[in-house]
Amino acid sequence: MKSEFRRRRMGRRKVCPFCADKTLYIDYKTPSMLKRFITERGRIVPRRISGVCAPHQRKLQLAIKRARVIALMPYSSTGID
Amino acid sequence: MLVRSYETIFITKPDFEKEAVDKLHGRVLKAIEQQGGIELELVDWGKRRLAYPIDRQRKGNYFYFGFIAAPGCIGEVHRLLGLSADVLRYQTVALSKVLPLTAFDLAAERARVQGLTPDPQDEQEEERRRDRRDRPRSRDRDRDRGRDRDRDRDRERPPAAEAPQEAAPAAPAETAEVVA
Repeated sequence: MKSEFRRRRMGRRKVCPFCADKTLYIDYKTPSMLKRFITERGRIVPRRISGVCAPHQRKLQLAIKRARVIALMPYSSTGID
Repeated sequence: MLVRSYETIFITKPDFEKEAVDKLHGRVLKAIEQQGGIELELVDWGKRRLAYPIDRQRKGNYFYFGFIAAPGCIGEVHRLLGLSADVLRYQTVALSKVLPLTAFDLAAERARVQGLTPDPQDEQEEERRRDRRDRPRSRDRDRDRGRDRDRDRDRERPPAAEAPQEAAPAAPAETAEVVA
């Protein structure tokens, strides 16, 4: 009973995009790829939303932070600068 | 000689002087080679819009510098980069463990660095940015912020000294403002 209920609520299970596509490399030098994992305001999207697995989220986090240092990605953006 | 593979990305002002960067390059190279390191390649990645302004610059010229060097000379490299007035920002990332120089396949390392291309910049980005500025601020704008946080409330609070006298009249006025 319970499991049925949960399945209906959660919908389809998200798959980590980096596990699904092994060729996808997390690199701080490619903001176009990392952009998918930040919000419009520039915050890092939590894994529960993006579906990224824990090991990849850790790499992603480091990459985004590195990209921020060299101004490839914003620390924050209001969308109206 | 124990060395490591590094990559440094540094950003200069868009109107940087070629000679200044060449000179800087020479000085950095000397620092690296003195301690048994070698250069792989210095690549000019061209101008790019910065994600946020640095020193009031909105654009910067990116340089990618790959090298193999002793860990001890990174401090010197950063010191030299920091000394230059044209350099806005620099960041070094270690790409390998500390190994003897002979353990590196130099040809392969060079090929790797030369194969790197800067991430293409979104050309429509500029246009979209302009659009956004004109558009009225949307309802979603403050979505990231906590729901119960209200900056204005904090700002309008009277200073502590006069708080006791004004406490009573101020409170209803504030409420009225919120309602209005």
